[in-house]
Parts: sequence; C-alpha cells; structure tokens
Amino acid sequence: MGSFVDKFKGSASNIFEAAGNTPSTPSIFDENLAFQQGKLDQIRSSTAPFRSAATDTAIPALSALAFGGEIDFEPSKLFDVSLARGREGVLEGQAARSGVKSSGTFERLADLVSGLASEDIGRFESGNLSLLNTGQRAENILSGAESSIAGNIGGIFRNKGQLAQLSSQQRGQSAADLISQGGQSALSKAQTTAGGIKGLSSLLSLFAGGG
Amino acid sequence: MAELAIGAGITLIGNVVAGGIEEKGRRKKEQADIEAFKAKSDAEIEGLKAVEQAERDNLAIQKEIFGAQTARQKPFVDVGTMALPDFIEAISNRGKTGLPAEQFQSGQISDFLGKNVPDIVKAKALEELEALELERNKSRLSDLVNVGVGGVGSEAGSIVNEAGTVGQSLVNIGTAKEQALQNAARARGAISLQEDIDKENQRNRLIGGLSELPGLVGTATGFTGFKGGGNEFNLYKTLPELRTSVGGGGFI
Repeated sequence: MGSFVDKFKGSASNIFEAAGNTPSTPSIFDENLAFQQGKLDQIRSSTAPFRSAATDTAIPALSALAFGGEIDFEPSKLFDVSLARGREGVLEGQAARSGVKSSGTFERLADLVSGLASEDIGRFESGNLSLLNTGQRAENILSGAESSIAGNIGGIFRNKGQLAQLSSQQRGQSAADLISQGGQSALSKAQTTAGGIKGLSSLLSLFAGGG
Repeated sequence: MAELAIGAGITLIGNVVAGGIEEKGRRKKEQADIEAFKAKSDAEIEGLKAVEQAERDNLAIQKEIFGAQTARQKPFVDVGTMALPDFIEAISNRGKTGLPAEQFQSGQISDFLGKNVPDIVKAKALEELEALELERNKSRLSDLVNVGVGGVGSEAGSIVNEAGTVGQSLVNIGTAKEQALQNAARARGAISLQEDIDKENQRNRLIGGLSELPGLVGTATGFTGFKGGGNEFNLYKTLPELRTSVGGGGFI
C-alpha cells in the first residue's frame, strides 16, 4: 500500500495528463490559421491581375511619359484615319488658296499631325491612368483585407495564449483543490493515528499499572 | 468479574457493529457523492459538446452565406479580369479589340451607306467607324475593368467578414473543447482522489477505533492498573494478569 502522498501524486498526475493532453484543441487553432491564410490567398489572387496591370504596365508607361523613356505605343486607327482626312482637307484648302507647295501647307499639316498625335498620346495616358487607379484600388482592397486578417490571426494567437493561461490556472486550481483535500485527509489521518497511538499507550499504561 | 468482561465485550461488539453500520452508510454516501459529481461533470461535458456542435452548425451557415456572396461577385470579377489584358492592349493601340469592321457592313448602317453614298465614301466611312469603335472600346474595356475591381472589393469584403466570423466560431469551438477537456480531467482526478481518500479514511477509522479500547476495558473491568506497578511498561507481565482478572475469557 503506497503512501497517501504517492496516491495524491497519482491523482494529480491524472489531471495534468488529461488537461495537458488536448489533441483536438490545437487542431482547431491550426484549422483557423489555415482558413485565414486561405482567405488571404484568395483575395491576393483576385486582386493580382489588377495590381500587376498597374505595376507592370501603367507605372512604366506613365513614368516613361513623365521622365522620358521608351513607351510601348502605336498610333491609333483613329489617328491614321483622322490624319488622312485632315491631310486631304489641308491639301484641298491650300490648293484652292495659295497652292499645295507653300509654307502654309506644311504649317497646317504640322499642326494637324501634332494635334492628332497629342490627342492620341492623351488617350494613351488617360488609359494608363485609369489602369493605375484600378491597380491602386486593388492594392487598397488587399491592404485592408490583410490588416483585417492579420488582426484575426493575432486574435487567434491571443486566444490560444489566453486559453493556455486558463488551462494553466485551472490545472493549478485543480492541484490546489487536491492538495487541500489531500492535506485535510492527511491531517485527519495523522490526528486519528495519534489518537490511536495515544489510546494504545494508555492501554499499555493501564496494564502496566500506571492508571 | 466475568459478568463485567461479558458486558465489556458486548459493549465493544456493539460499538464495532455500530461503527460498521456508520461506516457503511458513510461509504454509501461518498459513493453517491462521487457518482453525482461524475454525472454533473458528464452533463457539463455533454453541454459543451452541444455548444461545439451548435457552433459547427453556425459555421456551416456562415460559410454558405459568404460562399454565396463570393459566388454572386464572381461574374463581375471575371468580366473585369477578362477585360484587363484587352484594355492593356487597347491603350497601346495594339491588337484589334471591339466590333470588327465587318459588323458595320451589315445591318442598318451598311444599308444606309449603301443606299446613299458611293463605294469610295462607304469604304472611308467604314474605316472611320472602325477607328471610332476602337476608341469606344477602350472606354468599354475600362468600364468593365472598373466593374471587375469593384467586384473584387465586394468579394474581399465578404471574404474578410467570413474570415472574421468563421474564425471566431472556430475560437469558440476550441474554447468549448478545452473546457470540456478541463472538466473531464478535473472529474477524473477528483474521483480518483476521492477513492484514495476513502481508502485512507477506512484505515484511519480502524486506528481511531483502537483508541477507544482503553476506555472500554476500563469501563468493563473497572481495572485502573496494578498497584505498585508505577509507570513501568511491562506488557508481558500485565497481560496474563489481565486475563486472570477477567476469568480467562477476555477479549485480548
């Protein structure tokens, strides 16, 4: 028969073992983390084409326009058509006035070309600005989502920590309860044992004539 | 003297029997307490399991709602995503997007041009229409891209809400499971300890019973010790004398 302390240790270790062995709870946390990560990946994937359109196309094009550099651009069909129409108009007009081969003809043609080219570049710039704004919106959407999900993930770890703390407190309380119960029982045992020994002593003393 | 010894024996047996009955009753009550504690603990665990299941049901509903929201946004996101590469091409005037020129050569426009203008003019008009259509298509593609990114925004809003709501449900499930495990552990530990205490108490009561012996002997025999014996400890000497004094039928 083991001592009471040994038995108490056995009982307490049951609690620690059972309370510490929580196989299902961590998997819930892992499941939650994987879920949050999956949702973040989903938003990153949805926004990716818009974001890369801005960074890979619009920003290089607008930077080239602003700071100089090569742009991936061809004159539009509208430019070609408008130029052809305009050229015909200029030539016909000049022929009627001072003749086609005059400085006025070249000036008017130059004005026509630069005006149409400016409009065409303007449309190119406007399109890229639209693309840039779209990409920026997508980036803002992603940033907002990342902040929220990062908050969720932080909350998961915080909850995990609080739960671990709670478990620790509960285990401590359980152990304290057991120690208290065990201590009272041990005290009771000691008192009773002492009483028994005292009684035996009295008995022996009685027989020995000590009265 | 013999009568006194018999009386003492009866008293002792009575006490032992009474103690046994009392002990049995106490044991029964303790066992009932343990069972009640276990039942209460089991009920709490079942309650927490029910909480977990309810949270699982809630989770399934939330996922279905958010899944439906995301699915509803999908056509908008898809059309925007599909328009994006065409828009990039259109901005740089590369590739042919929008309605092809052939579309203008049939239907009302073509009929109108065919009826009222010569072929050369008709060809020029169609060429100009195609050029205008290409520009118009830039606006169209831009609108679709904006619709798409708007859809992505709504989709992301749903996803973020889903992540928060479902995440909280999973936290609740984890908490319920943890509490259930804690309760189960405490119940098992307490029951185990109670059983140990119970056994210890039996031993203690046995020892405690011994302490009553001197009083019983003294009451039964009126024996208060040998004269002249002083405080000497001499069991070998005193026991045979005690036997003699109670007529050899004593209980020691």
